[in-house]
Amino acid sequence: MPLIECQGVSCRLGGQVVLRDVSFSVAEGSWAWLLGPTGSGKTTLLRVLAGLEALDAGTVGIDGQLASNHEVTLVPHRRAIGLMFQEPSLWPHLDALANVALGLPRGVKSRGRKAAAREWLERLGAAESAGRFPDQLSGGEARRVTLARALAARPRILLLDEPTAHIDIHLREGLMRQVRHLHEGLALTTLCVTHQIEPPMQLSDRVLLLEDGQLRFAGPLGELAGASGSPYVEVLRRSIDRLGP
Amino acid sequence: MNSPPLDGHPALNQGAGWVIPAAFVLFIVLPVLVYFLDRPSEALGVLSDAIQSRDEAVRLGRLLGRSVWIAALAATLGTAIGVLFFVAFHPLSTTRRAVIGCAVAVPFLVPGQIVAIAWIQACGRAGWLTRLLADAGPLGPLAGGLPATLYSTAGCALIMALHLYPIALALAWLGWRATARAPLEAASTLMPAGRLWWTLLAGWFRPWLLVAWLILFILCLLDYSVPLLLRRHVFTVEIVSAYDIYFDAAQARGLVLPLLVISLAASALLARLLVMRRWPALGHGSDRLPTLPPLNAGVRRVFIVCGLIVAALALLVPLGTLLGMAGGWGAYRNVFISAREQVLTSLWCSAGATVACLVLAAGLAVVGMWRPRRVHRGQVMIGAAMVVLFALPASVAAMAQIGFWNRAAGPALARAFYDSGLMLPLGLVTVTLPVAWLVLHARMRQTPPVLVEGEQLQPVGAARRWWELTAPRLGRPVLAAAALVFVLCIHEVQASILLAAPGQATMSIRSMTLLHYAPDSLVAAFCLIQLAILLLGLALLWGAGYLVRIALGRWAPHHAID
Repeated sequence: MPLIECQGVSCRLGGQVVLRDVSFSVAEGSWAWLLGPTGSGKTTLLRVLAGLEALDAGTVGIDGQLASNHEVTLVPHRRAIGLMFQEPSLWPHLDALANVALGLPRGVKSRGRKAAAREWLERLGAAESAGRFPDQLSGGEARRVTLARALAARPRILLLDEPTAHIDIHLREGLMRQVRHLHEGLALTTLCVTHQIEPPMQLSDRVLLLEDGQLRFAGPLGELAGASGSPYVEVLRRSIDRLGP
Repeated sequence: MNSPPLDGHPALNQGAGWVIPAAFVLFIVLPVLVYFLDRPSEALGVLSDAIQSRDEAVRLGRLLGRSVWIAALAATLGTAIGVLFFVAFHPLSTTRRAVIGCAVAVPFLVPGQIVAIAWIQACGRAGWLTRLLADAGPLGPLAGGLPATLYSTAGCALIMALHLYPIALALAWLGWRATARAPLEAASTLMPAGRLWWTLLAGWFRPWLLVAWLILFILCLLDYSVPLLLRRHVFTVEIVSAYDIYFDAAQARGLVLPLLVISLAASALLARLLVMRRWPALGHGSDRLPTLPPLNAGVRRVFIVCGLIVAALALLVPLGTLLGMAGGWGAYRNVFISAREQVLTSLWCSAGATVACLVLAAGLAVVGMWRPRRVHRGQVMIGAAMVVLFALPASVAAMAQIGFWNRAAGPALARAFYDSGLMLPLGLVTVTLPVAWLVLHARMRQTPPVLVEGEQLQPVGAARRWWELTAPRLGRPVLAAAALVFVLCIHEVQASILLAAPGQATMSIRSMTLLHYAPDSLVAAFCLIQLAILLLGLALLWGAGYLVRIALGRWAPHHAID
C-alpha cells in the first residue's frame, strides 16, 4: 500500500507554474530518488509533500488520508514527516544538542530529553558536536545534526533535499550509507532529492525524474536508460554506465 | 615601491584618511577624557563627602534607586508594548503592516517632553480628562486619581514607555528579518505553531528584546525632560541642577559617577549582546520575511484588542489633546511667528549635526573592515569609546565640551571655537554619534568577509573602490542613521540647555519654557508645529535619499548590492 500518493499535483509560485500534473506513489518502507536538473521543481515537490506549499490542483495523500488539495493543507507537524533541507536549517542560537531535542516528541520528559537527543547524535556519529553551535560545526557535522533532529521526531516519512550538497566527496558516500542504514533500521519511507547519479545509488532503486515541473519517468534506475530523453537524461545515462551493475 | 595597505581601509590609509579618526579624538574623545581625568580628586571628594554625611548618602541612594526603578519599569513596559504590537500586527499584508508600522512609530517621533506636556494637558490637575471625570457625577471622586497617577513614578515610567516603545517594536522586527526561513520551516514539521512560539521563537527573539530593553533602560535612565515635567526628581535632574542652577561644576561631576557606573554597565552589556557572533547583526536579513507560525485565533484577537487600546493611548490621546488645545489657526500663526528663530536654530543645528555625525560615523565604521577576519585594534577602541559615549547623560557630554573648550588659560583657538556658535551642534554630535556609528558599523560587519576580500582583488584605486563598492553598501544605513540622528537632535533637551549660547534657543528648549508662562493653546500649537517640522524634515530626507539613489544609479550600478 502506498504511503505517499500524489494525484495531478500542480503548484504555482510567484505566478510561475513550478509543478504541473505530477502523479506518483511511494510504497511504505521503500526508498525513492527524486532526480532532475536545477529548477525542475524537486524542492517544491518535497515542500508540497511536507505541507509547506499550498496546491493549485491535485491531491496529496499520506497513509490513505487526504493531506493537501487546492482547498485544505494538513499542517506540517501532523504529517509524520522528517524534512532535511538543502540549506542549513539549524537554529543558530541553540547548540546541536538543543537543536536535536527540539525534534523529540512531546511525551519525552524534560529530564530525559537531553539523554535522548544525545543518543540520536551518537547514532549519527555526531556525539562530539553536542555542545557546539551551528556556526562551529563543519558542513558534514551540521548535516548529521540536522538529520538527527529530523529522525528524533520518529517520522514515518523522511524527505531529504540533496543531503550531501556542499559536503566533501569522501564524506558523501559514508553519510548516504548511514542514511540508508537508518532507513532500513527504522522502517522509514524515504524520498531523496538529488541531481546526479552517484553511489550508493543502485540500479534497482526507484527513481522519479522531474523536468520542467513534469514527471518524465518513474521506475527502477536501471530502466532509465531506455527512456527517451532530453540532454539531461543523456547525461544520466552516462552516469548509470559508470555506476556499474 | 608601493606597499598594499595592511591595517586599515585604503580610504583611511591614504590621503586625508586620518582626518576622521583624528577629528573623533580631538572633538569627542578628548573633551570627555579631560572631563573625567582633570582633577579627579575633586569629583571623588564630592562623593566621599556625601558618603560621610549619612543623610546625604541616603538621599542620593534613594535618588539613584528611583532613577533606576523608573528606567527599568519604563523599559519593561516599553518592551511589552513593542512585543504586543509585533505579535498583533505582524501577520498583516506588507502594505497594511507598513501603514500600521508608520502609525505606531509616530510616538517615537514626538519628543518626550511633548508627550509629557500632552499628557499633562489631558490628565493634569486642570487637564480635560480630569475635568471631564470631575463633572461626570458618580465618577467625580476618581478625577483626583488621574493627576496623582500621572505625577507618580509609575506614571512617569508609563509616559516614557509610550514614547519609546517603537524601539522595541523595531528590534522585534529586526529579529524577524534575521530569522532564516529553513530552520523555521524545518521546525514547523516537528511541532505545532503554539509550541513553536514558546519553545523556539521566544528564545530566538529573547536577545533582540533584551537589546531593546537595554536601549530603553539607558535612554530612560539618562532622560531629563519627562521626569522634570512630571516632577520626578531623578539623578539627571540633580546633575543639571547642580551645574546650571547652583553653578557647582565639581558637585555635578561627582554626581555623574554613580549614574555612570549603572549606565556604563548596561551599555557594555548591550555592546556585548550586539557583537556576539551567534546573533546576526542589526539590519541583517532577507527582504522576503519568513512566515511566522500562526497564533491561535483567540490569542491573536486578544493581542489585537490590547494593541488597539495601547495605540489609542499612545497616539490618539496625546495628539488629540494637543489638537484640541491648540484651537484655531491663530494660535499656530502666533506661536510660529514668535518662535521662528528657535525653529531655524533647531533646524540648522540638527541638520549640521546630522551631516557631521554621519561623516564621522561612516569614517569610523570602516576602520579595520579591510581585514574582515581579524579583530582590529582600532575598531575595538572605537567600540569601547562608543560604549562610554552611549552611557553618558547628554548633560555630561555638554559639560565636558564646555569644560574643554572654555578654558581661560587655553589656546585662543579653543576660545574662538567656543564663541563660534558651533558648540550646540558639537554637543549634539557627541550625544548621537554612537547611534549613527552602530547603524553603519553593523552594516559593514554583516558584509560577508569574502566580499570584502574580493574587493581587494579588483584592479581599481581606493577612491573608485570606495565609490563603487563601499558607498553603495552604506546607502540605506546612511539614510536610516540620518533619520535617527536628526530625530534625536530635534528632541535633545539636556545638552541644548547647557550649550545654547546666550539668546540662542532650540525648539525643545522653547517648548519647555513655553510650558511655564504661555497659555495652553500656544504650548499645544508649538508642540504640533515641532512635530510637523520634524515630519517634514524626515520626508525631505527620504525624498533626497530617493533622488540621490536614482541619480547615482546611472553611475553606480552596484547599488543593487544593497
